[in-house]
Amino acid sequence: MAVQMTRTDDRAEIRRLLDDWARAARAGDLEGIMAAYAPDVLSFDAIAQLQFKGAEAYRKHWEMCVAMCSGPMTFEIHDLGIEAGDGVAFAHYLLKCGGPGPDGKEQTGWMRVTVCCRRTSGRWTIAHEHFSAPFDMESGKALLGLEP
Amino acid sequence: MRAGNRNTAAEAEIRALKAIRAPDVDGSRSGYASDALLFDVVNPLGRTGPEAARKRLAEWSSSFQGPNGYDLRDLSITRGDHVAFAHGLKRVSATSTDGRKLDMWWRATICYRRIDGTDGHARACVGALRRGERPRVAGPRTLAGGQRCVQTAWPCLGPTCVPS
Repeated sequence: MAVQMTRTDDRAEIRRLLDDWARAARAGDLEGIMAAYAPDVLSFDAIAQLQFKGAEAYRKHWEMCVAMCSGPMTFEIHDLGIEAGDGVAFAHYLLKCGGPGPDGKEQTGWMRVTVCCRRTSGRWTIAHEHFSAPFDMESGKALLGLEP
Repeated sequence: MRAGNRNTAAEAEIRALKAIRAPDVDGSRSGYASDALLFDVVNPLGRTGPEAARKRLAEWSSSFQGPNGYDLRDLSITRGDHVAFAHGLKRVSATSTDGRKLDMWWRATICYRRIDGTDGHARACVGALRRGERPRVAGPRTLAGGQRCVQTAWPCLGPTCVPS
């Protein structure tokens, strides 16, 4: 018998999806990270290139990031908002991310994240995500020191 | 799935595109929900509400000379009955009031929430829309959250993985 999910259930499921993803990112667990994405995910990450098309291309990018980010990572989801519909949903949050610098002192910055999800075969996955930091028009540099 | 939401989203995108080319600052508020959240290319981290969107567009349009070049590529729209999202690449070329040339790609993600049950009856497919073409849409449309981001060539730095 089909079970009708409510939007509250959907929001809770998307919250779990993002929490599991963030936990995997902190642990450098590539399989755990990739479990969140749809096979045809299209990602606007904050680094390296304008977009990544498909889970295979995105996995390579995450592999590089995980390899570069050894040690305890900060990866915290703040101010999460979720809007869920019938099989299509989106979420937005502020991500506090970083890790220990060469002196062992924690270095963190804030990013804005928008996540777009689809529900297929009874499961929500990330079909699109967008990470960014504001940039300074004069210098062209990313502004990572901004506080929410 | 309804055709209406696809075209609702398409119309909002077309309007945003037209607004950048030839800004209609006062008309810019209409597409935004009262609690719309904007992650724009410049600081602060986030802005909320239609008035913030209007002010931002006013600042943007007053900082350039004349109409701006603006192109949209790889637009993709996914929609359900209640929620939709769109993303694409936008190229902006313009000359600032102090004579500096701007030519850059942005990545844009826009999320929509239907605030009224009115269905749309537009038949135009967004994939077939050409510049300036406007699909006929019934019903209100709203941008519940959006993100515009400039791509900058950030290296992933050593153990911290924090963009420079």
